[in-house]
Amino acid sequence: MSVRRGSYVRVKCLLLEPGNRKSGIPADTASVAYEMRVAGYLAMDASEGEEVQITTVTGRTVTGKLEDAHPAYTHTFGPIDPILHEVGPRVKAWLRR
Amino acid sequence: MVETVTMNLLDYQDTKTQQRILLGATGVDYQEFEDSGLGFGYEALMQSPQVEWTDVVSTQKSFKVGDTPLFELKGITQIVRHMSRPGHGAQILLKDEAANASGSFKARRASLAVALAKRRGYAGVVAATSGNYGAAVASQAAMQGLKCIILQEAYDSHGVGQPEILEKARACEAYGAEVVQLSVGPELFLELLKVLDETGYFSASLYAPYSVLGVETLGFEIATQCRESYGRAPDSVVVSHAGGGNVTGTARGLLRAGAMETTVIAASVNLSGLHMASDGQFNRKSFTTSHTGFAMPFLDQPDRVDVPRNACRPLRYLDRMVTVEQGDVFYATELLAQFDGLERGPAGNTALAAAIPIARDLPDTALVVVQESEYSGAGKSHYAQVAFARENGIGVAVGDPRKSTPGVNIILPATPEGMTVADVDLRAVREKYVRRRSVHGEHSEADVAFLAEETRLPVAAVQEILGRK
Repeated sequence: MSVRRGSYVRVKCLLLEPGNRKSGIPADTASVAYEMRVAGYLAMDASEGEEVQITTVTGRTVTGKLEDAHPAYTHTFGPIDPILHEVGPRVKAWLRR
Repeated sequence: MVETVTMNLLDYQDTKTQQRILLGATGVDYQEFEDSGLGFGYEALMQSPQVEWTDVVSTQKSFKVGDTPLFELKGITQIVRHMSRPGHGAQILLKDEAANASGSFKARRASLAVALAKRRGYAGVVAATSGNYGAAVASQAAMQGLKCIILQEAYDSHGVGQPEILEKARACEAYGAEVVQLSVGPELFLELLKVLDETGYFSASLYAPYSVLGVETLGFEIATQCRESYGRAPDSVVVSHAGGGNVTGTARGLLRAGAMETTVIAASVNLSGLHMASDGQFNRKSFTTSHTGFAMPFLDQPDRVDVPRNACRPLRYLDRMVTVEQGDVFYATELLAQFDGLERGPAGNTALAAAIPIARDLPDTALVVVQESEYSGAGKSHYAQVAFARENGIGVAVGDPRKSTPGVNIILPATPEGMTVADVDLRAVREKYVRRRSVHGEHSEADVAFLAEETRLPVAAVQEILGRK
């Protein structure tokens, strides 16, 4: 699906190929690509996965693969964890002992 | 046709290129401070921002930083005394640094860096940080009218981000900054150089002298507030410790206030066994700061940072260093919320987790200050961290936190009596520091004096280690 020019999107850029990483890093890291993700305004109509240009909020031009047409904040507080949830009541009981 | 030549990221490993970019981006000629031997003029470097103390305080005040409350943690002190032997159980106080603009003590560092950048005419600031410092720089840049780029190590190779870091990215963007999110690896420094080179912005390095100077107000305020309320400086100040700026700045601030007898204790979360540059282990940790993965290497190799000489030199100031487990800090975070009504952290509660068992063994007349708190929120909350750990196959249980293995399981204590600290052998670290700097041949008197200053070891001890080599 086409994403309109001017949309605020996130691109992914390949900075270093696997095997071409800085020397002396752990093997698992050396065997994967070094990547960058940046958000900005799309310079042209494009589809997800296409190589595009964006202009970031500071005015920089960045070229990368259109990864996310609608970047969102999806991190949460998480579910109620029984172990954490019981700390308060348990310590209150302990204080009464 | 014009051919554009773009530098490969690895080209930024060139020393001359690095020196050129950093001189332009920091305005500090680090060569000026180098001695002929292995030392450098630390105090001369620290004085290089040429800012009066009164200006430091007034700059911070004008940018919504500092003068934070020092609260008595009555609930937690009651818990400590419930398990202490008679006459023991120190009073615990909390310096509520979450009250700074952007929600952490990092605003103290950022406010000076951004003000300096503005005064020197830079159009923007850049910082490499996955932590609260990013939000602090972004917030300060917003109010001081500069552009801001924050570089974070955020994702593993599967594109899975640390929730705590994603929250910091959100905060930076909320303040109008550009966030450059990188996958795992030390090449972040090279990308930082590239961005500095491309933009000509100021490098708001965490390891620059003004960044430490900004924290000195924190130590100074602690001593002053304790004297006002209790008639004396605190007996101990416990500091959450990672890169070393918090310890260095706080200790210097205490000394500046004349609190010579206060014991400075660093506390870090034990993440031993996890490699900080490992893609596979990146999301197996539940703390992205205040942990030993940063703290330990920086102790004896402080200059492996994004400036030639690090202004954060914890070995010069530390009286004691302890580690706590991840489960201890989550537990302390619950205690702070449930018994003192403050929802903070969790990473900023590392010092609190250490202060509880430390206070237990001190006289009940002693004052222990936990020197920071930080804002909490989605992604950062201990609930989010524990959920993320479980998603990554990390076990979560109740038992003896000392028996936990970072990256494998998290164990919360069953009662507050199960909270302990493990002392780091600082003498061994100090000796290791000297051994690392010993080179073949003779050492000048200046070298020996420098190493003694750096490590707080007696001159004779330094000479003995060098001679042994």
